[in-house]
Amino acid sequence: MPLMEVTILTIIIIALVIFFLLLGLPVAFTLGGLAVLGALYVWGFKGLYMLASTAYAESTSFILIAVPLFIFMANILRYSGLADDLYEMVYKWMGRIPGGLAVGTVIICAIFAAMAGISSVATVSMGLIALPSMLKRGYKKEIATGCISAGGALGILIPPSIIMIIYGAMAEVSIGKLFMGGLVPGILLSAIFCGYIFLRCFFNPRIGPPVDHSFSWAEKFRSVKGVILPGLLIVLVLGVIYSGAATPTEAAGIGALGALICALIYRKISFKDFRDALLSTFSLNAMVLWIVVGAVAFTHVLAYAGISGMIKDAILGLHLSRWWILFAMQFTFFILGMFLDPAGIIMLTTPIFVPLVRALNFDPVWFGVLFTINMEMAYITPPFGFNLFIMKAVVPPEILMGDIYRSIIPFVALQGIALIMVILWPGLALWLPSSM
Amino acid sequence: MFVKRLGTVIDKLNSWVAKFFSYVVIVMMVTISYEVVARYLFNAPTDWSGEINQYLLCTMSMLGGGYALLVDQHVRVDIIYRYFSLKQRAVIELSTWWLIIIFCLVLVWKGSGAAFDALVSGKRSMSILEFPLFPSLVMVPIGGGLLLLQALARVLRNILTLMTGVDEVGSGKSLFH
Repeated sequence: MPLMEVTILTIIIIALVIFFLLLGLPVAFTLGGLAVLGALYVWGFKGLYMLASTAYAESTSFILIAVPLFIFMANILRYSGLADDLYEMVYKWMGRIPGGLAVGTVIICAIFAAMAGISSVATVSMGLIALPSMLKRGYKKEIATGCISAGGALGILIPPSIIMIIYGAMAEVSIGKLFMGGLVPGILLSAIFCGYIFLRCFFNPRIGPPVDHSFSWAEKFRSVKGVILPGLLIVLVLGVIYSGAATPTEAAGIGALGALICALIYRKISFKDFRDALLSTFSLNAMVLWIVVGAVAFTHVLAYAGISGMIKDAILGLHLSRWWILFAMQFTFFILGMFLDPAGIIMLTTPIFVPLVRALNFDPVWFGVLFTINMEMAYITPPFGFNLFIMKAVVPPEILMGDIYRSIIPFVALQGIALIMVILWPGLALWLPSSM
Repeated sequence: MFVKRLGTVIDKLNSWVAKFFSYVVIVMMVTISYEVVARYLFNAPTDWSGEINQYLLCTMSMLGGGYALLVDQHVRVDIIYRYFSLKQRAVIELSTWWLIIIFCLVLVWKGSGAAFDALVSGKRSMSILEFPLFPSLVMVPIGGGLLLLQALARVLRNILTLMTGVDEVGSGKSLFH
């Protein structure tokens, strides 16, 4: 196609995407529907077959088999009562430290993140268990709600991670390497959160007062009991991926089965919980796969019409430093993160960004980790941070949306620091995957 | 009223599909775990687990599209949408949701063509398993059809809302996923 036509087409398509998204049409169907119109324009009626073949090819993708399994594992954990056991342990071991309950809540979120590929599980569980307990013991609402919203978001950075699976499938990057790339930054970010909470509460104990009840060592050690099996499960799932003994998909299968067995052993799951977990898995998985289908079909049209190539050339043609382009991409992620779910953001941006990343000689695994850290912010930045809505749904009515918005400010800043650290020292993300 | 009944029937259909096919993930979990056990304990990896699971993923994902729409799971931006009145929302949805409908129509049309061809020619996968492709291929038009029905139900409800001024869509409570 002539350059003029491609340019006009590009402008029209971008305008249409924005138009339909802003009017509330789901991302999957905005992209899928525009792919239909685009296919008609570039190929005519015979091009429509591409949509059906894309739907089939993506929904039979070997990599994406891990998606429903990790979602199911997370949903089972939510009903397993593990959160109660973990919180009891934290309460007995760390309650006497200033801010100890909030620090412990972040640690629980990190442990949950190592078992669940999504952020909502830890956020809901801790919102229901840790939040009332902290508020009752005089913790200020900013620290109590902030640590849960931010801690819950760790779910996508510490492996396993649904977001990384989707990114890996789109960017054609090894899922195992992405998972391992997220581990060190995930632990680093958790440590930064913990350090921040501890220091603030240490210098100003009114924010997070120590609990004035001490427990015997026997009581403390008894509280560890409920955590042993899940701990083994984490080691198993991450261990088989790291050692290469099993693919991430297989690890997802074993992990889901393991989580179900744990829940049955502790007898904490009812049949109704089980059915709810199944239904929730069914709809979340469909949401992810339909976005993938719509976006890949859309990408095919963009690529064939020469639009992705043109945007790439235009950006490269600016002769900017590649670091400015990286900054612009991260900034775009951050802005989109205020309004959209990470799954939608990957799909909107990968057709343009991934070829750019490769052309600029950035490591796509490293870029995937940066993207995921950025998406941590997306979960807690207003107006549409997913975790903020979960928090609003579980907090007592006297905590307002404004309180929740204010509570996340320091945590977004800390996430920003972690993002910059991983940009400055790529080894933080790349050391572990390169040792696989 | 006929239109309301039709909507209820479509809701029930997709709920029923979800209740039944949500168990597919259990089959996936068991077969994949079995594959790992077979490889390490029995030293005999299966030649079917990976491929079967691809078809199972297709089944689960395609058939879930309508249910996800029913429970409002599909990711969307409702930042502007929220500030409109009931009737304005109905007008907005009527002016945008045709995009879903043409998307689904294409999937049903082209997908059933591909599935029908596979059925007639007895097309099989190019693997050791040589599994028939029709059962998984047909999930694309069926899934597209279920999504189409759910989208049509929503469009009908929007028309009702416009006519009666009563919230038939339940769009006001869509904030929480």
